[in-house]
Amino acid sequence: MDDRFAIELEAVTKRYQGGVTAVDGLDLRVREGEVLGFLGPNGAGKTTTMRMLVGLVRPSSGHIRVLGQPPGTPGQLARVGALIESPAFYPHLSGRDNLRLAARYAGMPDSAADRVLSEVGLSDRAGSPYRTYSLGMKQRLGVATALLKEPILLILDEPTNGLDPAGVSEMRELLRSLGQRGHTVLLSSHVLAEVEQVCDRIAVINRGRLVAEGTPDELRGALGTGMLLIDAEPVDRAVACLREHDLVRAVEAVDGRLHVTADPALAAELNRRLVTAGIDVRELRPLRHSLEEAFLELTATHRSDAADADREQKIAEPTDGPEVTTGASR
Amino acid sequence: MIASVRAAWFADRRRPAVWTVTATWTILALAFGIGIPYLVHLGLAGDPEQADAAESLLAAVLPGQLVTTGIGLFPLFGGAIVVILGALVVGNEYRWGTLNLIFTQRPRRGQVLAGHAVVLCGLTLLIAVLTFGALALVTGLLAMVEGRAPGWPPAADLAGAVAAAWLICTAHASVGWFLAIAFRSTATAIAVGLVWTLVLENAISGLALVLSPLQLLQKVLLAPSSGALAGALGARSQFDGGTPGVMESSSALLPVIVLLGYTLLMFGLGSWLAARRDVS
Repeated sequence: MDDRFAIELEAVTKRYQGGVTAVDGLDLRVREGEVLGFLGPNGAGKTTTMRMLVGLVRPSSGHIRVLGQPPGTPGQLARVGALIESPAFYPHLSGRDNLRLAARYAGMPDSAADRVLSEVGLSDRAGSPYRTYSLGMKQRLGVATALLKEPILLILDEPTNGLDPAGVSEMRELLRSLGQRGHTVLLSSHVLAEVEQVCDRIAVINRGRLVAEGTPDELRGALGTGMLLIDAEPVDRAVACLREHDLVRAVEAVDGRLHVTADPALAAELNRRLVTAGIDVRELRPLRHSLEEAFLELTATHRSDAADADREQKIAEPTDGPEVTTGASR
Repeated sequence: MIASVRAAWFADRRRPAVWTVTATWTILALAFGIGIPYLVHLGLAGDPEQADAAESLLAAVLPGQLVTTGIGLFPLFGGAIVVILGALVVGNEYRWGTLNLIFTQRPRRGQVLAGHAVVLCGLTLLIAVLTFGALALVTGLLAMVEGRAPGWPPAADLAGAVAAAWLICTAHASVGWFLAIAFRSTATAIAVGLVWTLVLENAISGLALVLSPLQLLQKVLLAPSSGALAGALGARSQFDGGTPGVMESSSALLPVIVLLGYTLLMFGLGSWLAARRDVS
């Protein structure tokens, strides 16, 4: 396996007793130093995958390497910080003592606890019993535990769950700074705006399989809407001019701009046509999905089309940069 | 390994349940071992026809019989209490989900569990020492109150009794520890552990009196082995007016081997099971 990847999963399957397949032949690679958003609907297999990455759950088949080692080994765990599902701590211990306990297991000095408490903004309540913490404080303590070992790889499952807006913003800044400092982060979240702002790339899984991966821009573009957005003046003449084109199927004015149903490949030709007609064109670009729309479309497609899950389906290829594919990973 | 023991001790010593169980057992030991016999003695003391019985009861609560009185409390009562302690130490990790926290730090799972096992052995030693310490204190006070010579037992006998109590407690605690891992639950482990040690094993022991093939099985059971060890150290059996659970025995060797076997088997099986299963 290539050592430029912090995480490598090859054809990983996890089948639980009772026949439930949580992860089904998943291939996924996370490059060193990147922040990868890990998206999928509930039950898609995200948490099981993350559990496998730290050795809490063993795969039924396939191969996993984390930082070049099998998951769950002391050497690997020493360099990985993880927050998986809801944080779980000793209710009778204070936040500080819970962190000290984790530090002792990790072979870190007790002073590491105070460092990370400050980093997540929990110093003021560090001495209070964990059972008195709010959901947001519990979440902060979970993130503090993940940071305790000064890890080079962070695996975070819904780290902003339960945080107030200010907490979400702080967490976003923290994640961004971790990425800038060269940490590798695997981030699962349902807050797509957060993922979009923080992540270098996104992987979408559904029914335990990878259905798409790429940068946020690539994912949005990968599922083209088949529409162009044109900002032109005067609008009425632009509409008339575009409707004359045989391959333009519809033109609709939305908030002073035009949504043109046509092959995005016609963009240059339509631009020429408008300019030749003496119409000012201020903006012309393919109309893209929001990340949320792309996510819903990707997961809905694969939810309703499980029988075709093996069929790799290339929906779009950007002209530059890495190829973005959607469909089952193998 | 040392880090795991330190961490386990850090967590376990702060659990109120651990000290509640320890204190409860110490109070029960004093009540059953000293308090009740002494009260009965006081009740009989005025009756000339019961003078022998009253004297016998008084002798049992004076320092001279500290070893036999003390060790006799462990096979039935102490064992059952310590099953609860064993289940609490590791079962709550499942209840609170804290294995997720621990297993994603650094040590191997086996080291984490070994850390808890070492701490549990320390706690059972503490219970054995604390029990005999409390009994010694109270019996010494009673000797003063009654104006009797203390007649302390030899230190070697006392050390042997503490060691035997420790072994009985550790073997029982290891059962609770294993059951908590097997069932991933504190409550189920305690329920099954108590049924096992108090009901099932005693039923087999009772049946062994009339069904001789069961006598062989009885020799490798936890509670009867504990009773036989106590009997070998001089504690009187129930049939001889002693404590329930104590059995007549001339040798401590087989009971010690059986109890050591339980301890190693239960800790080993529990560690193996926890290490190979998924943590969900």
